[in-house]
Amino acid sequence: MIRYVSQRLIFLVVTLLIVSFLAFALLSVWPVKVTDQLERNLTLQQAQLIEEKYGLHQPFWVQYARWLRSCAALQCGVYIFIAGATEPVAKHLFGECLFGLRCYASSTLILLMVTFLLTWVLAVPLGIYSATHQGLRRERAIAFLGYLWLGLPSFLLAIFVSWFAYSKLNNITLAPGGHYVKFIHLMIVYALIIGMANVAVIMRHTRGSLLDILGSDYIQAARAKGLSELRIVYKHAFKNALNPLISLFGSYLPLLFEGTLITASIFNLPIVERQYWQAFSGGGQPYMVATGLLFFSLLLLTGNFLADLLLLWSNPRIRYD
Amino acid sequence: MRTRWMLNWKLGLMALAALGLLAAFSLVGPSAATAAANGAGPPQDAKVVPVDDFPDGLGSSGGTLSIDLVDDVETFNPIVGLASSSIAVNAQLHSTVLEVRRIGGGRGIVEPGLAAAFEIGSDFRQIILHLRHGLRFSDGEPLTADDLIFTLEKVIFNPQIRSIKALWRIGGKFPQVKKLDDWTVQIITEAIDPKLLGNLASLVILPQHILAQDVQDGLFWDPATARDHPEQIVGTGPFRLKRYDPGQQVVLERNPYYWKVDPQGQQLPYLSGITFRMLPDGGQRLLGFASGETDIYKASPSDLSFLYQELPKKGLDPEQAISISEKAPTVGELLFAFNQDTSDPNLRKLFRDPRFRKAISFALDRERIIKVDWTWTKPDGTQIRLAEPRCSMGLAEGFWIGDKIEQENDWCHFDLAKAAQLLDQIGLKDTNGNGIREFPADYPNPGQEVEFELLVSTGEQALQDEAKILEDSLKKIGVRMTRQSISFIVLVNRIFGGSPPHANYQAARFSLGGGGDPTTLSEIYSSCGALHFYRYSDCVDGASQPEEPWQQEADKLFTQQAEEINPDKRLILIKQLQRKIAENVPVVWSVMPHRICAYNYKKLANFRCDDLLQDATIRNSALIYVR
Repeated sequence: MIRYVSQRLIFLVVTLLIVSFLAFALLSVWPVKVTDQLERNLTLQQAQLIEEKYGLHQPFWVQYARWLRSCAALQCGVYIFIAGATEPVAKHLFGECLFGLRCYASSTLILLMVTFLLTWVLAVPLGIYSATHQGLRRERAIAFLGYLWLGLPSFLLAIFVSWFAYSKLNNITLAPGGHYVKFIHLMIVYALIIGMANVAVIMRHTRGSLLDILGSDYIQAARAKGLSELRIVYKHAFKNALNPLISLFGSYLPLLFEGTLITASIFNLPIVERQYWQAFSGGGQPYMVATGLLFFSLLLLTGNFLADLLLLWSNPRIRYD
Repeated sequence: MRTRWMLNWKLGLMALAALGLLAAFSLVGPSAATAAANGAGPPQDAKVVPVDDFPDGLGSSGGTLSIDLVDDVETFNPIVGLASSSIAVNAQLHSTVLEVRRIGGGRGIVEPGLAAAFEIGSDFRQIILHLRHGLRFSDGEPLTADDLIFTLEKVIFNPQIRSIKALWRIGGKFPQVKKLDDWTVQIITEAIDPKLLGNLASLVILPQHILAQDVQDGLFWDPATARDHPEQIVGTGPFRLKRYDPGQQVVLERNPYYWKVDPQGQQLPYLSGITFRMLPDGGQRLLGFASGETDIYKASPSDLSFLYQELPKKGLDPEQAISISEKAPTVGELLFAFNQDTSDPNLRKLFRDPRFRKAISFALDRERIIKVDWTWTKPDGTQIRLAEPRCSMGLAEGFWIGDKIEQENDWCHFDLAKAAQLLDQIGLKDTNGNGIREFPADYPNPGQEVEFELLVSTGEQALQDEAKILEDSLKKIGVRMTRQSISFIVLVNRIFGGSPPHANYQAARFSLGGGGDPTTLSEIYSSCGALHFYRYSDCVDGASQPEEPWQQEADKLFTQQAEEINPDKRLILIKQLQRKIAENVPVVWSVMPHRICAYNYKKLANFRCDDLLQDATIRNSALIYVR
């Protein structure tokens, strides 16, 4: 077990290094350069001073090495404001506080947790219901809604919900507009918008997985022994149906993060994704973009790592050693 | 790039106003020197705003105003504040040495601002500024002549800092600045400078006590400083910075040391604060205004039907709340540009031929563009035009002769037959019968089909529609135009990128806000202008070396008008300049949208849509009060 975890951790670090290198290499062909922006907005001397100080004209591998060193110090390079000032990328991207409009990391974490919980709390019971009530009208209605949610892009859902809230719910607006309390109050609405498509996915996975298990011989045997349907489903079938869902969890975290970006942009939510997107669309800030990509990769790998651990926990038959 | 030009436009308008003044300037005698007040409150030498400036009468203190910004604030440094959001916020945090009173027709007169009086020397080369006694910055520190000299010498004239210093140079030199006493400064120019009063009417005074150390590298008052230390952003405007949450909001509070009072002696501003919310999404901004979260809204044509339907529910009469300015005070350049330095030798030669650019202008159906994107049908069935055709460079109303140019030049009007005729004259013929013309023998690569790529910024439907309308027309006359939609930032980079700038495009459709005064438009239309995107090769090592005779004449006219002190003579030069440029169509102008604004008139008094400049810059905010 310890050997397995150690191996996975080493694998995680190596993968992150490869991803970060590729991200930097990709940035070298990005058409918009931060140096161009600096030269356009500052005097040539000012721009050159900044470029020299942060090695922006150096080959990408030199910049890459600088950035890696900086990441080790939890700074991840510098973010350069359009008028030339700088601050650590980590501070710009994640903020430096616990609660409030400037605390992007914690706001993101809260939103992701709410979305995560809401999605799974809604999806898993609906999936179980669909599997155990196969063919009924209600099950078909849930399936239809599931497909509808799945097919509805989250930006469209965000716009639809905005107009619905305004026109049908006493002119409620959903953009926090600089109010942290409003952001917290409306968290569940954002979570629904972000998570709806995933509800459908998880629901379908739960249903499919459970149906497979419910059709197996040992379930028939349990039924023949006279166990109650509730006991069969929740004690015997569901536990075994969990494995594919846990695997899904691994890739779910980064998906969720990516899905949040659109909603964050529409409502201008004070979270990491919005900060990242703004910096990205404002020009090629190599350290910022690379840090963002590294962060996304870290999420994906961490998600997969956690999923593997959960699988070990849920199914004692699985042994990676 | 667009944004820097916006700033220049602002200065240009001031310069324009200054010229109005030079015709009949009045000297205001220095007021009695008074000791500065120690605590908060206006200086004893406060400026009393005339009662005529309060269309809804005098108000009382209290209440806040909320307005949305499209983007985040790039910098709180008013000297280099480039984007419209930065300008909108900085305009509330700072006051100018002199001010401009608009008198209509795009003109204005200069009147005292932070300087209570100014004296112009008989040789027109020097001006003495008498600062108000008792002035204080928003942190309570006194403002003296040293701060004004610091702003000019250490910031504006500082070669290390990118500012609008070009406007301050005359004969290649900056003016001399002398301190006569703690409240009096003399400025002496190398030669007569008609822009000087305009420059002073846009000159803010920076606090030496805050910036003396930071100013060395010019990188001061960045967003991080505003976020972490809002108390360090100090100015003389009606409001001061209370809080800045990057990407979310800017909260301003009343400046207790503001230097203006109403006719009853009450210190301005009336409002206790302004909140700028940041919302990039247009739909959310619209809902925010309709729900009453914001008070002022710069609308787009597609918002109008919704506003007409929703505002009555809030007890607002749409006719009163919505203003559509037929001639917006903000002018700008909305155009199709052709890169006359493009790497394709055939296209380079073609784009340099004014007949081709005229043919494009003939082929551009401006009325159809207006019909498709800029027409709104009111609930009573009346059709409202929300844009007008544009066939000349954008200038302030007092200078602009675009309507005459439109009458004088037939290429302002859609005529495909004439467009085809001009292409025939150039020698572009469809020899193989495939519907696309080929280049003739006198071109570097004869036989090549006439085809070019047009860059359009993604996300702006009106621009996409315009490009499509032109593409359809050109197809009919045998020219293939392909459209490429790219992000705005990439577009800007391809048109204005590099230092010195170099263009990497064939053709592009984009818009530039601002303009107004020919001196600022020289950034585009003179050979060595920073935004001379249609032919950067006109400028070699900073020296104007255009090949085209008309461009040489235009350069000369730009210089002459900038140095002409007599407003009537200057106007003649400006008219010549407009005609010279329009006749040669360096760019193909498209349409000029009207400005559409909506505000909550039941809440806000002393605000009119004319006071909304650009997206969220509010003029006369000190006079606004909540009813």
